[in-house]
Amino acid sequence: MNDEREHTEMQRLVSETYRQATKERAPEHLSKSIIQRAADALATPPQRSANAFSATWIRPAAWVAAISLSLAIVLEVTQGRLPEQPVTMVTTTAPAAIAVPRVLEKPAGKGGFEAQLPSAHKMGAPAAMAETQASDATDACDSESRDTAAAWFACIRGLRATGQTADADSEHDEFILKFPDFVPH
Amino acid sequence: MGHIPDDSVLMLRYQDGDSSAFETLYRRHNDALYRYLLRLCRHRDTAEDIFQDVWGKIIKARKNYRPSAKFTTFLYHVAHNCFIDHVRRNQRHAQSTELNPELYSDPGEQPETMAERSLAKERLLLALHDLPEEQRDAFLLHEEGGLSIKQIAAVTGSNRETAKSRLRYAVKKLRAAISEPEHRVKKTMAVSVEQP
Repeated sequence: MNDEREHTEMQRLVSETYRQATKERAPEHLSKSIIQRAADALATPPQRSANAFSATWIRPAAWVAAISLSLAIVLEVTQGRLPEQPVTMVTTTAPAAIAVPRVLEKPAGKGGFEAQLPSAHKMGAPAAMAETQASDATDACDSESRDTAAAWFACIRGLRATGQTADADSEHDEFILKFPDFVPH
Repeated sequence: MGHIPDDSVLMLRYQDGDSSAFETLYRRHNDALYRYLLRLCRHRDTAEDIFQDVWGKIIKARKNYRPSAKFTTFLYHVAHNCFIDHVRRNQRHAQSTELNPELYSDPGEQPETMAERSLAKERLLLALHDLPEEQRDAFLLHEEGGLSIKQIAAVTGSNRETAKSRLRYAVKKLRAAISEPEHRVKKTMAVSVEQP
């Protein structure tokens, strides 16, 4: 406590001396030039950055990919084709992995592999897959997305579009510090 | 009594096309930011280059700006990053540690006035010049930016304890320098006074 008070007093003295010692001001010619630049920036439309091209196609491409994936999963589920898929595919999905070894231990009966799966699992595995894929798609931006300003920004927009405002805000705070001069389109 | 708009409000107004809001914001922070860079770089031309670079980035950042953090934290974060980029790009800076007496005085200041400046101030500035970069940065962020320990940690990308420790060491060394004159101080002052 005493140490803290001593430090505060020390800091006050140093701070006071520093304030008296430093009187420099930003040169006026620089100030004029910067203020002029700020005004000019408002007058002229933003320049397209080098990443502008990628920014134009990444977003629609991401949406198309997400919609295609969703449709494929829905078709798989409605047609009940997924349980017929090779076992390896099911075993890679964590929630279904518990059920699959049990199924494999039993020899395939008349009904085949599909008949041996409990109905809940028939729906459970694809549902779990869809859930996993959906959560991957809407997670906060990964390191790959963060490589370029355009990709990162597109990811943030995606988060916002999917209602993950808190994640989007947090990503955006980091984004603006890393790419303060990125111009969105 | 007039209402003084918050920095973030000014930045948002600038975002909406009000250039006078930027000017107000700029005038509010330009001198402190300039001193921060001047003391951090220890080289006037370099400091001026980075100073322009920082404001250029702030101008460009207006479209993406969101008032989630204090504006000064944002401003000094950009400035800190610009300085680090400059050091990486230009090793000349890292090696240039020689004293530059000109830096410690107003170019228009008369030799007599310089001689009158108190010894304590000279000692402090020289000690600040000699501080390790991280400690100098922490001290300047605190003094010029008015940043808290937590904000210094955020700007420098360190944890809170590290930022606190850097600031404490800096203050301790500067305090010691104020009360214990070094031989070099007198020498520097003599050089300054002898200048025509």
